[in-house]
Amino acid sequence: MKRYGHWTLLLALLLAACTPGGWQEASPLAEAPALYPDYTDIVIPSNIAPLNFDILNPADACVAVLSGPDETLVLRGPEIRIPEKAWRRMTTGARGDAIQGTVYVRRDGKWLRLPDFRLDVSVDEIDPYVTYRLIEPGYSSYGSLVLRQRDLTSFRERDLYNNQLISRRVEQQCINCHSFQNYNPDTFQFHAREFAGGTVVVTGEHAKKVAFKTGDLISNAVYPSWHPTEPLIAYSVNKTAQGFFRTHRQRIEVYDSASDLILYDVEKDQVSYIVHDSLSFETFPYWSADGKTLYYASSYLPDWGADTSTNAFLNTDRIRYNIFSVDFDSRTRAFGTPRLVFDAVADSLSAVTPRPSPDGRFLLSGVGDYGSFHVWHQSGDIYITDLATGETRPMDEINTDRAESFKAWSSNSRWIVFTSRREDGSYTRLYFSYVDENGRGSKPFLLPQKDPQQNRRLFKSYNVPEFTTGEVAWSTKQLEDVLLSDPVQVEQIP
Amino acid sequence: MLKSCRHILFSGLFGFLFLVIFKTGLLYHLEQYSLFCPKGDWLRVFFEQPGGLLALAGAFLTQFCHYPVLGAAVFALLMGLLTWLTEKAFGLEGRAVWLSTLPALFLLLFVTRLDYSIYLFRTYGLLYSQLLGFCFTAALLLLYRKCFLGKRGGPLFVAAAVLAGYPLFGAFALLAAVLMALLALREGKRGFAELAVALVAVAAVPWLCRDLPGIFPRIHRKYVYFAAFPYMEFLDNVICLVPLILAAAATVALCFLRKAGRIAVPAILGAALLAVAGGSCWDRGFHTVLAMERAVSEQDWDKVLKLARKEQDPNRAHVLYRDVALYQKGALTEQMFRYPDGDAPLHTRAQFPISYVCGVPVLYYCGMINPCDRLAMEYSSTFCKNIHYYKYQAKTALVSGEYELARKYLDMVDANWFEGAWVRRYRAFLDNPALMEDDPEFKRLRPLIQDTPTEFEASGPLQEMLYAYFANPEYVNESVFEWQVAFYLIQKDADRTLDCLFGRLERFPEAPIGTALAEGAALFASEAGDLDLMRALTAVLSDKASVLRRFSKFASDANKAGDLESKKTQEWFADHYKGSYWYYYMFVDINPNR
Repeated sequence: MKRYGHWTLLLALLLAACTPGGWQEASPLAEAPALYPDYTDIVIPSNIAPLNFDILNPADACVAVLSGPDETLVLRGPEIRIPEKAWRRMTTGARGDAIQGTVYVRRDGKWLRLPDFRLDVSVDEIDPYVTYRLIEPGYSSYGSLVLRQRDLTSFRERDLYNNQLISRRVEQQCINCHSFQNYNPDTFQFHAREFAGGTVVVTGEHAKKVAFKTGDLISNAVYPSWHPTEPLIAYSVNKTAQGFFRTHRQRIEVYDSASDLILYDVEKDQVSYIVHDSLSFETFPYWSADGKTLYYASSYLPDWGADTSTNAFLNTDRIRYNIFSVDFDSRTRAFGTPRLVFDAVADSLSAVTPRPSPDGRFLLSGVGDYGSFHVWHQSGDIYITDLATGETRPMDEINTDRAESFKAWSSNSRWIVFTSRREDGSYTRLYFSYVDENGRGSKPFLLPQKDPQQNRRLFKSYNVPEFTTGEVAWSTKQLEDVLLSDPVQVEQIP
Repeated sequence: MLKSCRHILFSGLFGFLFLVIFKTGLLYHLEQYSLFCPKGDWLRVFFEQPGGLLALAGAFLTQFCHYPVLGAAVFALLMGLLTWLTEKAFGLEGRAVWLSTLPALFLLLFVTRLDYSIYLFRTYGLLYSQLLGFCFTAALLLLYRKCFLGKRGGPLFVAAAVLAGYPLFGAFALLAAVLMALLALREGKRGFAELAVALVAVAAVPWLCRDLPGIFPRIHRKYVYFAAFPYMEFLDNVICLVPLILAAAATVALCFLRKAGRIAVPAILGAALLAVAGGSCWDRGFHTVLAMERAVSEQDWDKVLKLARKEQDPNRAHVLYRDVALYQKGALTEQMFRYPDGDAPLHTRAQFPISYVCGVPVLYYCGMINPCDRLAMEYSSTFCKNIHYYKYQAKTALVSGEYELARKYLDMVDANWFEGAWVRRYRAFLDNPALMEDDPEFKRLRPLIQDTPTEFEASGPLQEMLYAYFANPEYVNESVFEWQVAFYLIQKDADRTLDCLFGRLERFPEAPIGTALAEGAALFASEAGDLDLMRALTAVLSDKASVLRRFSKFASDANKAGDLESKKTQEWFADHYKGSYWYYYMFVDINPNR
């Protein structure tokens, strides 16, 4: 830290020279600092990118002062853009401690000091990369879709794959459901639908395109989960449809009228059923970190008979899911008997997308009033289950009255990333929260951007955020080549 | 001075007058279907593929078309600039300078040739980007001719032009390289070196840009040699690209021009002018659609109706805009069949549904808020994001009470230079939503928004969506009643028309009945042959005695008429009954799948 001392001093002097004078003699004002994004009183990882923000309090001039144990930054507002290196020094020095923020505003020539806010800097770092899909919160068109990877320690982001590489007007391509094996950026998969469709499966330096529709599977592979250690991917296969509400603010309902779970052997290109129950819809599989348990959501609809398509269309609000788990023996590749983990239906709720924490302590679920696609449900919330006690509760500390849906744990089980429509009700954004050893989440904070107004100018939604411990080495064009290659047809085995 | 600039003035003035006289509607449309935002993250997208600078500059300049005269002036200036650059780049002299107008004239034709394919644009700034691209090519050529032709650095300049030019100007840099080599060959000065370098650079640079990781994340492998050309827009309407090919061909031909004959110059120029005049899109229906679109966006309903009255062979976009205007004027079921009706196809080679043309505004003004938002979102993700869709999305968000969302759209529209007044009008509702209660637009809209939260909309073509939305004959309110009846009449749905009418009369026996509805009811009752029904109808239409009398005569004429398919019969009925529902019923068929 010492070697940076003179630079810090110089920087502070320079910044002070650029900031309006007189704020040091400000008198206190009991008006909460209004920041966009709201970064007040949050917990942050020390390796996060600078939390740039805009001061919204009315003022003729304003200054923000960020003070860590070793470093103080004085920044002229209202657009607070924090130098990356200074920020890194500040957060590193404040690990396990806090950064204090203070906003000063000048009104009628008089400087006023707003109440301080805190940024608690956790000793637990966040995984450095998050991968997501950017998509219009639309319905059926996919003119421009991109899988993008963001370096959380800076503002750098790059395309993992962009469908405009090969899409043409009539040769459209949807891309979705990227998934990594145990946070490893070298082993991943994603789907492409329609033009040059198939599932791209990458294992280290090898990649292939896989065609899943085979045997009596009701669809191609859909929602994936890589086994953490074995060359296996659990998928759901789903008959999915959507309806557009005439006047409902939720606008759209995406629902399944049938679904099963399958296991794909990446090396042998074979698939077999995990659960194949005509009376239930099973979906959203996810492995525990030790690979011994598979969690999934299941909706039991014994009275629907064979015509589930019509029944599902007419009764979307009656489809509710519980969370189950099933043991898995990786040696014999045999599954045990399903166990109920979270009985959401008993509370007239529907729980989907189970996500166990890597340390095996907690399980996150997406919960809504009904259905499986809570990204479109305003009732969509995140619930947490203590796997030791079996108790489940809504994470009110991070939920809002707008849809919270996709989520993922960091590899150290301390951070979660989730999508929420809280910003404007329509476009999902990524939020992060620190989850302590008791399963309590801290106040969420928005994915930092170089210019925070980018969140308001971007007309795309973030979905399916997935952490990785590193950057994907494959280029977009290499993945394009894989997609344009002939697919490997999987074989169904009993 | 003036003498030496005559061809430049001619080029600019011709372009300006042509656009101002014939194409103001097109210019305004292109502005509304474009977007510009001077912020880094938005600008960055343009540089994800080669030639993005042209699209960006084009999007910036397109803003001026909010005032079409201004947009035309900018276009004319660029035409003049291209003419001057072409003249200087090829060193044209004497009467040959007039031939330097050719590329500019063909680029004018590219714009004036545009038809309904403008609804399929996926690239920003197409109005100006091609002109700017040719200017860049000619400027490079001029620089080469002045500084590098016949010099040692020539081949190096050619290579550098492609390397630096391709990322920003796309295929125009490749065209420039080829032209430089041709120029050098023409002059016999180290031409083969230039040609070799140009060929290698042209062949290699696009693939280099494509394959180097991280440079262009979305460069399409099939079209690396066409970057910055509008290949995505006209894949199934290639004829629209002919003017661009002509412009490029004219530029190449100028390379080899040695002498310009006394007759050849006026003949070539005349042919080019004829090509512009003859090759432009003169489809009256298309221009009426554009004019109506603007009138609807300005809520100038009288103008919409004036245009509808003039359009004798309307397509469904004309008719639907007309019906929206009639509803706004409170005269839908009174007057809707007094206007020309029909289902003319869109005159374009590109195949697409009518909803691309008018779906978003029509759904909005029919109170179909979610479908309007959905369509705008779908089209935004398929084609260029634009002011037009964001305006409707802002309004649907306001109506739905989603004020943060409305603010997001309004902010984006506001980033465009000339949209301030529009944005101010709607931003006022964000600050005080209660103002919407008294606003005429929202007052007219709100009664149409049906409270059916759990019902899914009908998917399919626009007309089916509209029909399905108003398909429940139960009385809701006068506004919904107007549209219900209108759509039942359009669909010739006798049962629902009568159910709707009598359902309403049960509640409001004294409620007025529009002429079109009266005509429809009389016809349907007569066709049903139900005497009780006819008696009941006669009673309720007591103040429409003239309609009933006329219907008697119509029925008699129809019975007497021979072959209804014959042109003569149809003309006779047109002379006597055009403007009535009966004529529509008998002789107008619409294709709901269009």
